[in-house]
Amino acid sequence: MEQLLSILHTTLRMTTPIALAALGGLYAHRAGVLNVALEGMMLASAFFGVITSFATGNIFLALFVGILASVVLGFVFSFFGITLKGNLTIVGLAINTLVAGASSFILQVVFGQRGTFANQKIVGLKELDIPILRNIPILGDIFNKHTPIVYLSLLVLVVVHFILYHTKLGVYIRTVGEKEDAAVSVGLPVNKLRYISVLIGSVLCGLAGINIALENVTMFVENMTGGRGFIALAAIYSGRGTAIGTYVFSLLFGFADAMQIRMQNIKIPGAFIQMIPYLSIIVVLSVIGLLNKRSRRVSDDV
Amino acid sequence: MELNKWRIQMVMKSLLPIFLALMIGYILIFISGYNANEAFTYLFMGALGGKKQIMNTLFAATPLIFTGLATAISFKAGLYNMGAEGQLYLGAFAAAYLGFSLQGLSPGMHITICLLGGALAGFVFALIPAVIKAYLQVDEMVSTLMLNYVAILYTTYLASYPFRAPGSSNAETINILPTAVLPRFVSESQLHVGFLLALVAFVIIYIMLNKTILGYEITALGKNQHFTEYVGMNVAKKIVIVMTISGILAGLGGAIETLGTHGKFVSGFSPDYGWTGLTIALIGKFNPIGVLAGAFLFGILKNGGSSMEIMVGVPRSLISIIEGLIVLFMTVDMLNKRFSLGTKIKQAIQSLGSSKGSQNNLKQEVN
Repeated sequence: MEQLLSILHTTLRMTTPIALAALGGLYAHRAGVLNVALEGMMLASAFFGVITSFATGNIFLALFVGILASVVLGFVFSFFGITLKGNLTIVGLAINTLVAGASSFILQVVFGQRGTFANQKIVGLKELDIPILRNIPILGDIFNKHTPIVYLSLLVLVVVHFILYHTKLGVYIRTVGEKEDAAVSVGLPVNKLRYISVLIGSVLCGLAGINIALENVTMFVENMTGGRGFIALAAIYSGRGTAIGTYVFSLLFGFADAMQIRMQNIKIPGAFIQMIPYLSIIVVLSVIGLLNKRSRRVSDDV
Repeated sequence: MELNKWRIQMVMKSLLPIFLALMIGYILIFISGYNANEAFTYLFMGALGGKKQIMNTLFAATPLIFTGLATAISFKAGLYNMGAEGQLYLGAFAAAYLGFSLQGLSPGMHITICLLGGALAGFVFALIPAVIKAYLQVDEMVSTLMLNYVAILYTTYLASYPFRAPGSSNAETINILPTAVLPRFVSESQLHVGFLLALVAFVIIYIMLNKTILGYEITALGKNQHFTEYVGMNVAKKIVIVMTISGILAGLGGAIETLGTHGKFVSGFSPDYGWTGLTIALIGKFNPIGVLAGAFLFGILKNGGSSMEIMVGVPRSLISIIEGLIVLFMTVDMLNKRFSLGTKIKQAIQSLGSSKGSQNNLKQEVN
């Protein structure tokens, strides 16, 4: 039981950056923009967050600079991909390459470090110990003692869902993505809405990057985002572009990550555990495909 | 005259982004306190300054030609196979396994079997996303992305546990037998026969795309899937064919890295060959010639970058910055081009957003 609770606690922790990136990418996705640059945005935020935390010792400033870096990339991505109408996938991949190169380059040239940057002076995020939650069994074990960003991510889920389905902005964004011609003809500012969608994603990726770098490791490692941006894209697709579906698939990855961390102690090769979320996405999508096919066949017969 | 003018324009369009990116790289080296002139001299001399240097550049380009072609052919058909990286890993492992376990074969025979094994691994691994795309409409972009992780995890497991070389501190297999090694041309350069095989692959794909019915069908498929269905093409079958050709190319690329470069399977050996191949295919506009040119460009940067690092001390990561900038600037030239990825993504999003997707599928079913 204690084991299980600890795994669920880690699940929530590991889910957070993926879910933030995915919920961030969701707006762009719904506005008809494939944001491959989620990965680079997170990495940039992690890097500049760590540097700022090291230089100033101020976690709030680190958070601000990290998000700012991610937002700047959001502007670059939007400018090349939306304003100049460059191919979005190429622009996204270019930004990822650029950030990976630039973070290593700055690390080596300015700080004389290769690959990793760890220092006593880097201030990390503090875990919150919530008095009321602490005393509730089970719930407390899972939900207590996380970084503020973890709690924020749960709030983000609610807000993202609400904005997407219950506000004008959400309707506009979905219209731009689903029926661009219609959006143009009713006079919606298509490009502006796309910029907004990408930039909301940037802010959330900024949070995700900070949480990766400054939660319990408090250091920067080259490519420390480890493909979470692409996993987030898969979560968006698998969740069929809904906020809740996206979060559920992010949870699946978080759970598998947590299992794999747990398995490292007992000598089962973690590789197979780590494969679970990737394979299960494929299985889930295949089953959905099969069911769709069946139901179509039935309706054809009728 | 018109054609010449057009050609010059095309060349200028690709050279300008490269020039701009190099300029920024130069400035970055300068403000980082290195001797920028010296660094750039070593960058170019290290990549193109002599016979040995050029050979090493071609060596660096070899795997990229394979992954670039693999991506180009599927993207040209409108199939977004992002799984070259994973297919490359499985091809590399299959070749290594056959390379160290089959005894008593003649060199030519042994190499051929290893290459076929690598190609087969790539084929099988591409068959999964191909079949579920063709018959269950599972988005190939998601499935291939996911399968990359599976392939890398699986081969890492194989090289860390059942097939780990005894006493090795790294996750790698034992060496392949000498009969399976792809020979080098000269001892001073790492360039091996694999480069010629890459050129053969290039020629085959070029002819296939431009001179055969399959090539025509691939182009048609990429332009308009519903039209091709309407004229009676078996789209599902074509999807499987194109995806698996793509997998075979990537698998071969991995096999050649094992047989020519490492002489064993090393877990994590690929510095993102798959992703770089994807980038090359995109900037080469899915054209085999464009892929070849892109692979050489990235080969020059990679090879010259390491000489720059060794001789002047400028971190190699600068090359990633330059690469990223080149790619970024190249997208601008694609203004208003008939570029189908954007359209495809829009369609994917539309079909997810509404239930329109199932209507399209319905059409497919009826046909």
